Amino acid sequence: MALNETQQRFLEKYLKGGWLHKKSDARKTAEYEAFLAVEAQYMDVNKRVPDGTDGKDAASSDHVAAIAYRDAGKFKKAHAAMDRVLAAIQEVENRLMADRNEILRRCGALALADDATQSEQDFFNAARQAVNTALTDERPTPVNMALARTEIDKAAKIVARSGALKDLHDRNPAAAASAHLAFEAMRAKTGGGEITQERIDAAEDAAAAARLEVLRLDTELRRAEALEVGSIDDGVDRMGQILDARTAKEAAERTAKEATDLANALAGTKLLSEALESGPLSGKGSARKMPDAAIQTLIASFEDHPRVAASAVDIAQSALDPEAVANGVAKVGAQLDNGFRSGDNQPPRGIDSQKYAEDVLKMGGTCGSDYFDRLEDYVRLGGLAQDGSLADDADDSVSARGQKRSVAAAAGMLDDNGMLALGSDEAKLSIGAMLFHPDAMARPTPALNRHTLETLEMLTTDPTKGQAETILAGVTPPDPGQGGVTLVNTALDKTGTPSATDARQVILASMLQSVDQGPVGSCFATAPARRLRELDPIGAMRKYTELAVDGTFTTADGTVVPAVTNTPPGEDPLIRGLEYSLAAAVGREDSMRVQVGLNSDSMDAARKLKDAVSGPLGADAVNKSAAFLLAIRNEFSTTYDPMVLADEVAEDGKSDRGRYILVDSGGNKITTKAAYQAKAIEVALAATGYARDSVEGQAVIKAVEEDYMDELSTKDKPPWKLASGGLSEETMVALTPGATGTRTECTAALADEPETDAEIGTRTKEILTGLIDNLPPAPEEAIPVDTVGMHDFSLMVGGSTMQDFLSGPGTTAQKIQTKLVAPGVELATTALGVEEAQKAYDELLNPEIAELEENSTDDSLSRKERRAAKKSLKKLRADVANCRPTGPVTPAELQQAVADAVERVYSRSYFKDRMQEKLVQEFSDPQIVLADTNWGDAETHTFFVVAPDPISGEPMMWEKTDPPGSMEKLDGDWLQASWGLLN
Amino acid sequence: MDKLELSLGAAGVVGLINGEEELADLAALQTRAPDAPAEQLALVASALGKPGYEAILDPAAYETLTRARIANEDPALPWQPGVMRIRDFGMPDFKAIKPPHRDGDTLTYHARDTHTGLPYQVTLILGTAGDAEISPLPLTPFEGDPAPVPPEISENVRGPKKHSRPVLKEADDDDDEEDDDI
Repeated sequence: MALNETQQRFLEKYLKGGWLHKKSDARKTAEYEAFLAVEAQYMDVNKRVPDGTDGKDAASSDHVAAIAYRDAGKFKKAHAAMDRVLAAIQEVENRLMADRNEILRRCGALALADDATQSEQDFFNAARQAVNTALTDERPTPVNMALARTEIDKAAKIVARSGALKDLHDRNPAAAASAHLAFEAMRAKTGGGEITQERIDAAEDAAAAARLEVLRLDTELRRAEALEVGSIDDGVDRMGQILDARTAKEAAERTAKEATDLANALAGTKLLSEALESGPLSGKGSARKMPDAAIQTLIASFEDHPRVAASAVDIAQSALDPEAVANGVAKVGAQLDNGFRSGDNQPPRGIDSQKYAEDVLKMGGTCGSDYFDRLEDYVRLGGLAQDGSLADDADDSVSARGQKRSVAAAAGMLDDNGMLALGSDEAKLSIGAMLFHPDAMARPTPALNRHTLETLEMLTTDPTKGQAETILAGVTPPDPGQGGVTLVNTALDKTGTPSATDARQVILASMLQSVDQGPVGSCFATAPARRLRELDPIGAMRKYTELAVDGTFTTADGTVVPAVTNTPPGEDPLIRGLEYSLAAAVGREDSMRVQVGLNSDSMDAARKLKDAVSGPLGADAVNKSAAFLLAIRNEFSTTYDPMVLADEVAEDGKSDRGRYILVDSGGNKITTKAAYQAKAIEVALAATGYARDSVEGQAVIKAVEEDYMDELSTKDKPPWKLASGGLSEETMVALTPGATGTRTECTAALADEPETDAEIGTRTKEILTGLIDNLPPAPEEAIPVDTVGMHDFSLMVGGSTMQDFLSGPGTTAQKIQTKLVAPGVELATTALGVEEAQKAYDELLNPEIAELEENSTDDSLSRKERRAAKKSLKKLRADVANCRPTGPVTPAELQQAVADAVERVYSRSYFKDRMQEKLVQEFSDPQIVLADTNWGDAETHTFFVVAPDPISGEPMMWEKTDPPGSMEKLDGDWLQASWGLLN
Repeated sequence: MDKLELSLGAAGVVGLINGEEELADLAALQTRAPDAPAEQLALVASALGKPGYEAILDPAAYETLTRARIANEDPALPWQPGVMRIRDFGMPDFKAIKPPHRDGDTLTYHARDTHTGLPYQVTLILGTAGDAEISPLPLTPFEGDPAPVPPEISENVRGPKKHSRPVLKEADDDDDEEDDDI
C-alpha cells in the first residue's frame, strides 16, 4: 500500500538506509504497510460494532498493545498483534450478529397455546414487538440486546406457562382457567419475565422496609397528634405537623402496598407454578379430587397471600371441608400480614405466626367457613394477646376439656340478665378462646368447635333463635331438692343454690357439645338422644332445661322420671343426665310393657291359686288372691341386658338379641324358677297377711308352689326366663312422639363372618342395598338403625355423600355398580404415579425408622431393648430402601412392597392393613358416609363409610374418624350382624 | 263407711265395694268415690291406675326396703345401662313419705315406682274422672364425688378400633451383627 507522508516520516525513523540495510529496511517497510492495512480493516469493523458490545473493549486494548509494538519499531510483532486484534473484533461482530439472529429466530418460533387468553396474547405480542424493535439494527447496541433478551424471556415464559396450563387444562379445566387469571393478575404487577429467588428476596426486603417506614411515620403522626397546644401558634404548628405526617404516612402506605403487592406477586407466581407441577392442584395422580370451587379459590389466593395459599393446598386436600380452607386463606392471610395484632396494636403472645396461620387453616378445614368469620373479631379484641383464657388444664381428659370449654364459652354468651347476647364482645372473646387461643390450638377440640359453630348458627337463625330465647327466658332457678340442682352445680363445679343464669349457662354449654357415646356403653340411649340433638335442637334444649330446672325427664307419653344425677367425672352432666334418664325411663316403660304379658300369665295362675285356697280361706279367697296378684305385679320389674346373655339368647332361636331379666323390689335379679317361687311365696304371705306357719299361710304356700307355679310353667316365657327382644325400638318410642317402635330387618344375620375380599364386597353390597331399599318414602336426615346385639346408631340419609349416591336414575344395584364397583376396579387396576407411591410409602415407614432410631439410643430402655432396636433399625433401613417403589405401581403392589420392607422386623399383616387404610383415606372415591356411630368426643367423630378398597377394588365398610379422616376397616362381626331400620 | 277391697274380675284385679259393687277401672273409682279409708282408696287406686306405681301404705316398710336396696348398691360403680340403682338418682326424703290421706275430694298418697324404686306423690281427685297427678319426690344426691368409670367398664364399650403398636420380631439366633454398624 502507498504510505502517506506522515506514515513515511514515521517509518523513516526506523529505517537505517544504505545498501547494507536495504533488505532489512524493505522487510520493515513491508511489515509496517501490512500492519497499516490490517489496522484499517480493524477500524472499519470496530466502527460498525456498537460501543459496549462484549469483547469490543478487549479488542481495543489489544489494539493499543499492537500500536505499542509499532511505536517501538517492532513492525513484525505489531503486524502479528494487529492480525489478532482484527480477528477478535471480527469475532465480536460475528457473535453480535449471530446472537441477534438467534433471538430473532427464537422470537419468530415462539407460539402461545391455543387456549391462551387475550391478555396473555397481548402480553406475548408486546414482548415480541419489543424484541423486533430492539433488534432493528443488524448490530444492535448492548442496551437493545439486553432489552431484546428481557423481552424474549418474557415471551418465552408466557409461552411455557401457557403450554403448562394447556396440559393442566386437559386434566382440570377449572384449575387451568383459574391459573390463567391468577398469572395474569400477578404478571400485571411483576411485569412478567424470569422470577428468581433473588428477585423475590429483593422485593420482599423492599416491602418489609416500606412497611417499617409506615410504622415509623405512624409513630411520627401519633407524636404530632400528642403535641401540647398552649397557644394559637402551637395549634397551627401542631396541625401543620399532623398534616405533614399524615400525608407522608399515606404516601408510605401506598408505597408499602405496591411493594407488598409486587413481592406477593413474585412469590405467588413462583409458588403457584410449583403447586401446579404436582400435588392436589396439578390434577395429576390418583389422589381424591378436591372440589373445583376449592381449587379455584386456592389458586386465586396465591396473588395476595402466596405462602399461606401454598400451605393451604395440602391442608385443604386432607380437610373435611376443603372449600372452607380455600375461603379462609384470605382472612388468615390478612391477619398474618398484620402479625395477628389486636385493634390496639398488641402483638399475640408466644406464637409462630406462620405456623399459627397453618393451624388455624387446619382447624377451619374441620369446622367450616363460619370458623374463619370469627377470627377477625377475636384478634381485633385482643384475644391472642391474653394469657390463661382457657378454663381447662393440660391434664384434663378430652371430655372434661370439652365440657369446661363449653361452660366457659356459654358464660360469655349471656348478658347480665342471663339472656343471649351472641354479638357482644364478651361472647366473641369467650367463643373465640375455644376456637382460636393458642393454648386451645395446642390442645385442640375440633369436633367441639364444629358443633359449637353449628349451634351458634342455630341460635342466631329464626325460627330457632326465637325459640331458644323463649326457652332461656323461661328458665327459673333449679327446684330446690331436685336433681337439677345437682346437675347444674356439677356442670359449674359449684355448690350451693344455683341461679337461673347458672342454669341457662349450663343449658347453653350442653347445647354447644354434641351428644356422643360416653365411657359407659348405652348406645340404645345415646343414639336417639344424639338424633334428637341433631334433628331437633330446640327439642333437646327443652329436655336439657327440664333436667336443669325440674330435675326430671318426661317421656313422649308423659311419664316423668327423676333425672339421673350420678354422672361420671368430666362428663357433661346434662348430656349424660339426658342419656341416662332416657335409659331409665325407657327401662321403666319397657318393664311395664313386659309386665302386660306377665300380668296375663299371672292372672291365670292367680285364678288357680284362688281355686286352690278357696277351701281354707273361704270367702277371703278372692280378695286375698287379688291382693297377691297385685303384689306380685308390683314386686317385679324387668331390666334389659342387650349384650351379656347374647349366647344364651341364641339358644332360643331368636338370633343374638338381648334379654329381659326379672328384678325384685330389692333390686335382685331373678333368673331361676326356684328363686321366683321363693319370692312369690314371700310376696303371697305379705299380701295376704297370713303367718307362714298358720293353716291359711300353709295353704297359700302350697297353692303358690303347686297351682300357681304349675300354671306359670306352662307358659312360653315364664317370668324367670323372659322373652328376648330389642330395647332399641322402645328407646325411640320413649323419646319420639309418633314413633312406632317397629324394626324392619334389612339384612338377616349371616351364620359366619365374611372373610375373603369377595365375600366382604358382596356382604357390603347386600347391607347397602338392604338399607336403601327399605328407606321410607320421605326419610328424615338421620334414621335409626341397629345391628342386633351390637349397636344402635343413625343412618345418614341426608348427608351429601349419600345424597350424591342416591341421586340419578337406576336401581340401587345399578348405582352400586356404577358409583362404587366401577370406580373401585379402576382404582385397584390403575398404577399410582411413582411420586405419590413413594410419598405414601415414606409416610408410612419413615416414622417407624425414626422410632427405632430413637429407641436405639433411649437410655430409659434396657440395653437389650436398645440392642434389639439397633438391629431392627439396620434391617428396616436397608429393606425400606430396597423395596421403595421406583416406578408406577398399583395399590396392591405398593402394599406388597410395604409388607416386604417390614418383613424381617415387624408383622407383615399389620403394615399391610395400615397401607390399605392409608390408601383408602387418600385415594378411594367415593367415600359414602353411611352412618353416624355416636362415637366421638371434643376432638373427633367416627362414621361408618362405604368406599372401594384400593387393593381388591371391592366395596367395603370402614370406620372413618374426622379429623383427620383416617380409615379403619370394619370388623367382620359388623358385616355378619342383622342390620335393621327402626321406626 | 264403705268397705273397699281388691277382688278378681274377669280381666284382672278390680275394686269391690262392700263385697258387691265392682269397680273395673280408675274412672269408676273416682266417679263412685266410695266413703272408704284412705289406705283402701290408695290401694285400689294404685291397682286400677297407671301401672308401675305401688301405693306406699307403710312408709317405714318402704324406707326399710329402699335402704336395704341402696345398701346393696356399690358406690364405687358408675351408672350403667340395665342396672337400676337408687343412688344414681339420689336419696329419698323418707320423712316426707306419709300414709295415704283424704282431704275432701282429694286423695293423696305416696307410691313406689316399681321399676326405679323411687317415691312419687300421687294426687287423685275423687268425684269426677280424670288423670291422677304423679310427681317424683325430691331426692338428695349422695355424698362424695361421682365414681369414675373403671377401665373394665369403659374398655368394654363398643367404639372405634384402636391399634396397638406392632411388636418387634425377635432377632434371629444367628444374627450377630455389630451394634454400632448402623
